[in-house]
This record gives sequence, C-alpha cells and structure tokens, in this order.
Amino acid sequence: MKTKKKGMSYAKWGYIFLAPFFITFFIFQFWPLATTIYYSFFEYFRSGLKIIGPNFVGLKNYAAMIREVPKYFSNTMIMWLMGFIPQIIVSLVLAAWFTDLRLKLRFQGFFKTVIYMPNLIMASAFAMLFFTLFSNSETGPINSILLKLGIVAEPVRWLSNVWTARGLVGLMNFLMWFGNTTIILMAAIMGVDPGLYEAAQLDGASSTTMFWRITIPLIRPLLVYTLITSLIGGLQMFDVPQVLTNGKGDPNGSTNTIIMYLNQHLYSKNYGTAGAISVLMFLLCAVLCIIIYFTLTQEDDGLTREQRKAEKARIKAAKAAARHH
Amino acid sequence: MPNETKTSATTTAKASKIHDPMLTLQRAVAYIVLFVLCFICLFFFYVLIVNATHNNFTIQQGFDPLPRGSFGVNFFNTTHDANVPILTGLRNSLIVSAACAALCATA
Repeated sequence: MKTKKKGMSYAKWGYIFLAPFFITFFIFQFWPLATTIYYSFFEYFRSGLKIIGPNFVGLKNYAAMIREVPKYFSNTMIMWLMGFIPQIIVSLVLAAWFTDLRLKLRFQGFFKTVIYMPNLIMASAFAMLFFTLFSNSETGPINSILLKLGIVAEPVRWLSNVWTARGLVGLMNFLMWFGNTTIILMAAIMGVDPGLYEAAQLDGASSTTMFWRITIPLIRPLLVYTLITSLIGGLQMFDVPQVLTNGKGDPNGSTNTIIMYLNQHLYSKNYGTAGAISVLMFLLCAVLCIIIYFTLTQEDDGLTREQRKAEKARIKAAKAAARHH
Repeated sequence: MPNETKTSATTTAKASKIHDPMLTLQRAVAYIVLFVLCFICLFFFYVLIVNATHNNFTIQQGFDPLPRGSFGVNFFNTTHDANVPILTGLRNSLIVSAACAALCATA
C-alpha cells in the first residue's frame, strides 16, 4: 500500500512539472493553429478602415487560392531545386572525402569550419549582403570585378533577370546549407561499419563501387531525413527572397514564394485568405513528405514496400501454380 | 597487394606509403574543390569586411579589394544613428536570448 501511494504522488509532480510546457504550447501554438484553420473558412479582411467579416463562406477561400497557389508553388520549388541539387551533390562528395581513410585529407578542421560559416550568419543579413554585392549597377562589387576581368562586356542585371534572380536565391540557399548537410552526412558515413569497407577493399572494389554499393544504401535513412527537412525548409522559403527583392518577388513575380504571398495577405490584414493558404501549405508539405518517405524508405533487403508486395504476390502465385500441377 | 590481408591499421599505413597515382590525383582534385568552396564561402565575408572600411565615395567607385581607413568613421556613424538604434537592439536580443538559455538550462 505504501509504495503505491508514493508512486501516485510522483505522478502528480510529473504532471505539475509538465504543465508549463503544455500551457505555453496551448496558448502560443495550439490556439493560433486552431484559429488559423477556423478563419480559413471565413471572409475576414480589412477594406480601408472597415473590417469586413468574419462571415462564413465555406470553401470559397480555398477555391480562390487553389487557382493562385500553383504559380507560387512552382517558383518555390524551382528555387529550392536550384539550391538543393548542388547542395546534396557537393555535400555527399565532401562527406565521402572527409571520411575516406585512404585519402587522409589534411586541414580538415579548417575546411569544415569554413564551409559551415555561411550558416552562422543570419539569412536576412546574408540576403542583404547579396543584394549589395549583386547590384545591377556597374559599380556593384561582383559586376565591377567581372568588368575588370573582362568576363562580361556590360554590367549583368542580376536582379532584373528571372533566371539570375532565381539563381541567386538558389546559390544563397546552397551556400547556407551545404556545410550543415555535409556534417550530417559525415556523421552518417562514419556510422557505417568500417569492416564492410575493409571486406570490399579485400575483394578489390574501387572507391566508386564502395561509395555506390556500401555508403549510399547504408546512409539512406539520413539522406531521406536531409531531403525531407530540406523540402520543408524549401517550401517555407521566405527571408532570403523577401530581403533580396525587397518583398516584391521581382522580376515579374518570378521569385515570389508561397510564404511571401501569404505574408502579403497578412500584411493587408486578409486573415481568411491567409488562413486558407496556410492550410493548403500544410497539406502540401504533409503530402510531399509522405510521398518521399514511402518511396525512399527501404528495409534491409533493399526493396521498397511496393516491390516487397509484388514479390510476395509472385511467390504466392508460383506456389498456387505448383499446387495445380 | 598481399599486405592488405593484415588488419585495417596496417592496411591503411601501408597503402599510404605505396605510391598510387590515382589516389594522388583524387587528393589533388579534393584539395582544389575544397579551396574553391572555401574561397566562395570566405569571399562574401571578405567583401563585407573590406567594404566596412571604405567611405561612401570609394564604395560608389566600384569594388576595391584593399582595406581603407574609414572603419572608425563608419562604426561611429552606425552606432550613433538615432533612427537605427543598433546597440539597443543588440541589448534587447541579448536579454531575450540569455533569459531563454537560462530557462532551457534550468528546465
């Protein structure tokens, strides 16, 4: 009886100590989340000084936004891919080199520190720096260097051209995150059993073969993790293009991301539409992540879920056929 | 190579002594790529710092890779701009982050 009583009082203290988290979570996270979803079904905006609504309009906000969002979604995904593809390639190569026992690179500490440095600077400060460096005029640092070296004949209009502007956003995302990804992937590669590499070496496997046949399959879980976190971060891309284009998404709306669009609605106090975009955005994120998770996660036999199902069905069919004969 | 049937430590030690042109080439490529990446990463910081030591006129003339002596003036102007109270902002950030860190450490 005595021990039972003691256990009960411990449980009570547990709840008391947990309470602050749940109270702050409820006030600052759960409640805004619930009201966002609630108001996404309402007409609720400010027109001049007058506040219109909230009037229930059902799915009208969603119907309007489903037509608008694809444009911003494609901008976001293009800029994300422009940063992510070089990022994952460079990070994989660097992680493989840093962990290669035969290569034995020197000054690793220096290199790792330097490639991580752009991540330490604030995204908005980095974007402001790029805005100054890549200014359209011929006196902008990058333009003046290119002109001096004779690479270009006249100043490049970096921020007025669709693909250079998108490329700059991609480059910034790449520079800011490749160091971080390298370190995650290095941790993954160092977690691989070195015995596997030794065995492969004895069998005469080249570094390339070892990389594709041992490293990649064994670090797949962390690759998927990198892909998913980067995708979520990419969909929520905001500060870099916002600061780089002064909140306008110039040129011609080609660097306007979903969150910048959401911000424009929030800035004009259009809560209904902004709520609808947020909910759509959440659904988009969730669907993309589920797709990636199920296509890329494999069990130890290297088969996907579908492949395993198909294999099982094939074996079953073969057995049935054998029974008939 | 018969030496490679030994344990891993001796394998790597021996392998590094044997001259392997492919490995040297790979190492050279690795160093070149790393230096290029380091240059790109540090270049932006360098431009930032160098431009902080230039006055308005030099900046408008175009990029000049050498540091000049205007850092003191620029620093004074930045910290004494009534419209952009940087020091107050820094102090506010410090208070918030220190309080947050203290809460996280005690929780």
